[in-house]
Amino acid sequence: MNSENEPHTEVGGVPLPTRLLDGYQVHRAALARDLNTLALPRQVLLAGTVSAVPSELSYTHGVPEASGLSAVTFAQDHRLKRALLDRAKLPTPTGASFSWKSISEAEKWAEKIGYPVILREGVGENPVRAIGNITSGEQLRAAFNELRRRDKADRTPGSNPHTAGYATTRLTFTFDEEGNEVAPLRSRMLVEKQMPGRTVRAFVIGDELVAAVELDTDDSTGVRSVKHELSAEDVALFTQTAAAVPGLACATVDAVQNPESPQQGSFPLLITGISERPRIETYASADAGLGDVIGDALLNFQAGEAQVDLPAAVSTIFRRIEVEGLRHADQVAKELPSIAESYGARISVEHSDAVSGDVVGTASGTPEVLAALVELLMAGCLVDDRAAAVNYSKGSSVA
Amino acid sequence: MPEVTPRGNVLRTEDTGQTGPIFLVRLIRLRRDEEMARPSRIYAQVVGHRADQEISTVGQAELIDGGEDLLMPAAAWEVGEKLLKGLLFKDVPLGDAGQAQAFIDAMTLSEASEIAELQESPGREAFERIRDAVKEAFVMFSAHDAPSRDDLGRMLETKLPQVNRYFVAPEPTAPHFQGEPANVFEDAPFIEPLPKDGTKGHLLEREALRYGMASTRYPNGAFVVTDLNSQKQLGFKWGRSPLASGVALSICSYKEATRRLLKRIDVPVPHGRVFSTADRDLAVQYADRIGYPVVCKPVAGLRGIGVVANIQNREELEDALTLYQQSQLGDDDFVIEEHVPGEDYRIVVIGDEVVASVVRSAASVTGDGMHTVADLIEYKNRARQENPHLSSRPITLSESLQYQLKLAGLTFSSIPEAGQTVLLANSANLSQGGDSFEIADEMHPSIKELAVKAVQAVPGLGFCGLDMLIEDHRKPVWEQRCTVIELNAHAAIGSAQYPMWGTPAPVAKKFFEATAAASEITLPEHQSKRLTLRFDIRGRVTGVGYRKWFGKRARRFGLTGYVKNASRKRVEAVVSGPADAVSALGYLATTGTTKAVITSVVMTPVEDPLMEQFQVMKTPTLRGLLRRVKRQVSQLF
Repeated sequence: MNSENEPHTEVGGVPLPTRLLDGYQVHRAALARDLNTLALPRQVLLAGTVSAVPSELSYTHGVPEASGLSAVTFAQDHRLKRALLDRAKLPTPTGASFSWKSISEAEKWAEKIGYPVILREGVGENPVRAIGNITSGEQLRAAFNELRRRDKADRTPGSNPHTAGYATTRLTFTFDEEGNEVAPLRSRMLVEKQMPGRTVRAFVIGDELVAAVELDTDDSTGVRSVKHELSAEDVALFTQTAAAVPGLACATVDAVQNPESPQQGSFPLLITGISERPRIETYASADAGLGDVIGDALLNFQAGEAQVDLPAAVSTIFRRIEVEGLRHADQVAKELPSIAESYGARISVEHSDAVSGDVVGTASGTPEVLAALVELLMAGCLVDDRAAAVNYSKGSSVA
Repeated sequence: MPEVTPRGNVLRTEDTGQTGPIFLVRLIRLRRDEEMARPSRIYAQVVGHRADQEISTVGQAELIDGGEDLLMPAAAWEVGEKLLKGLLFKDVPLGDAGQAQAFIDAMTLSEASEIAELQESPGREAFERIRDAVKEAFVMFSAHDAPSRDDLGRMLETKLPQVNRYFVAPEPTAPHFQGEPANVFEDAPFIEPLPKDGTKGHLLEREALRYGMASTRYPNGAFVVTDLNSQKQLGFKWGRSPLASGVALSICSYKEATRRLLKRIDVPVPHGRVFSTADRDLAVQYADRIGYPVVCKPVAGLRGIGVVANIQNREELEDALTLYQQSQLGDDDFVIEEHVPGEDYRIVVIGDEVVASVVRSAASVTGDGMHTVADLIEYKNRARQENPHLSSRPITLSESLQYQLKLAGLTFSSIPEAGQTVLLANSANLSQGGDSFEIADEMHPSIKELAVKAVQAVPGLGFCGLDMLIEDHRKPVWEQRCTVIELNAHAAIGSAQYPMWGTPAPVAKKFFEATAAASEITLPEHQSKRLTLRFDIRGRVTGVGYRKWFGKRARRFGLTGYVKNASRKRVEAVVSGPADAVSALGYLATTGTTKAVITSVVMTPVEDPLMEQFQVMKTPTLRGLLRRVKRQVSQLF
């Protein structure tokens, strides 16, 4: 098992990096409905009642096929999202964008709106990288300097496991005075008035609010489910926010209470973020059951969009498994059965081909464990190897 | 310009019959060499015949005056070109330096009116430097002991990438293919000034506006079009559209995922897999199994480093692997892949239909027996400038280009024979100066079916630019190798809409229509050729010269209407004219002056105000208002 120092959660008794949870949940939900699945890199999941290819349902990082390419691209452009929210007359904290070239103006602006402010990256993964509790021009400058740092792995989607497969390439860069690779000088970041109080995060799919949690003070984990505390107006605000990005089928929306609102003690809210990715880990940390709720909602929604009648739910499954593109197929063929057994599942290898890199066999167990094993194998976190495709089929993988 | 053809050692213009000794002239400007602190330089070259011997002389001048660099206005350069061109095929004085100088001075006088039109400074001074260089070259040419060597050609072998102005007369003929000149596009002048990363999006937005929709443009190439009847909205960013899904891009932008998926539905893809450097023996076994020839390349390629193609057997593979391990990327995982034959095609699929197909060829020039490779590259790039898709993709003077020339035993100053094709790249890449030919009408239906099958295997891929290697596009797939190399989920509009040769396909129009249909938007039966739009421009747009900037561009595009300040953070304009120009101005409006920061531009169709020209309206000031009130009050009493 990969021992990276990254946050993990446990699903069906299997430790899983939290970054894999979105993809895992739709995989689990698909297997729990007795579907055939094909996992490809970047947490792409193809699923179908008869075969996985051609697929009836598909996802990447848990994002359903119904979310269009322009919509997910819009969702990763944080300046654009603010502009869309402004046009839709949805409330956001006071904010403006600045580049490194106009950092002095940013300092003046922060003085004008009053500290503390929060600095958010202009374009990138969701939830957007941000540095909060900035209380001086000096801190703002330091935060700017930190957020403009670039990693080589960020240039193309796929190199960095935290970057979505559909993210835009970030090929242009420059160097700062210390020789660090940084974003081009014209890249803009958002300076926003930081609101007191905790963030409420809600998952919206279609026009339905599926889950809502309150986040802890650093906005990284959910601490309690608050769906039942939201008023009809709050729910409407979350769903309208998701709808403000044209073509986005589902969204995780962040909001904070507006301290200037006359209705103290409850919401209304100011919108602080929209993510095209579910980010199930923040819901599951507040209430373990919410992960499955969101996974099932994603499966049901896309099935509705594709007019697919889902089979009845099953608690254990038996599948033919085809693992492709391994560097050391023989070694993986040796290790897989015992790893599966340690989590209460069974994998029997029928054939492995070291030259082609393929392993073929059968697998049985709960949807939770079988989905987790494949997500880990695809991410290179199960054994010292990484698969290029894993197919779970009831019969042939292709119709 | 009369066509010039080689006739033995002497060139003659077909229609004038002039037979002066000078048959070729060049004018070149080398940019400033910052590293060596050398100012920009002008080189004039005169090539001709003296007593059956070819003579080539060069004059030069530095673009500097009193230690200050001189600017080179376009007008000064043009007069310089005219002066030099005036020497071609003329009876010119030979053998006397004084007469030669006087000849040039007289020619300069004949251009006096144009020279006078040049601004006193720096245009005039810049022209004088050109004249000095021309005079030096000509005086040397007229001398008895004029040199026969091509000094300019020798200098350009190393300095050509530093050239930023180039002129040769007679010009090489415009590129032709099978007797056909390159396509000409009416919208080229309106697309040329647009930001290069957003042309695809602009073409889609233009279609929406022609269908009477409104559009809101944001910075970074994003826009949302609104159907004014249903109020439905469609978002686009660059070529990323609602007609593809995020899932589709995750698959298409990762070749290994595409290959694994297509293989499952029996679409031919190159066999291949990844190996670590420790698994060299396994890689050799794999190649033996899939069969030779194979390609060895790094898993994450960079400028062709470490790529060895067309490996024919086990011994060559062993050598290639050794070479790979010695390369810069030698520690990285590598791919062994089948080497696939065929020409490079970009097939555009929308839904279940192939709407365009472009075959791409590697960058090349065709010799005429008179011009150098450098001349031919320069003028091929000028022809590419007339193409909206290729203008930003010139043939670049890279190291790999020079390597290709070396393979053919040529240099920049070589003169290829008439009809000789000189390859300038080893891949059929339009971005590296390749040519494009639209051939969808000739493509065999079985290839089209294969392309559609491949695209439909990717979930949510309503539009795709599919790259395929095909041996002969007229033959069925079962009589040849057809291999899918890559699927592109974001719009690949330009290559098919603006092919260099062949019938252009209206890809953007079909793309937009399919996008609207997918969202159940009913479009009008016809599109408008002319548009009148109201622009609502928001952001930091007042007090920054924005209206003046906007008015200048509207006039340059030949549009009518007006622009005015609407509030402190809003400018409003009504613009009327051809759809190509009005929609392009809408995109340009998001850029503005350096001090302007535009947050959005809303374009809405309105009635044509029927103005005769474009007007920049003044903002009423408080002082002006007071003056007007005072005047009206005084009239009352």
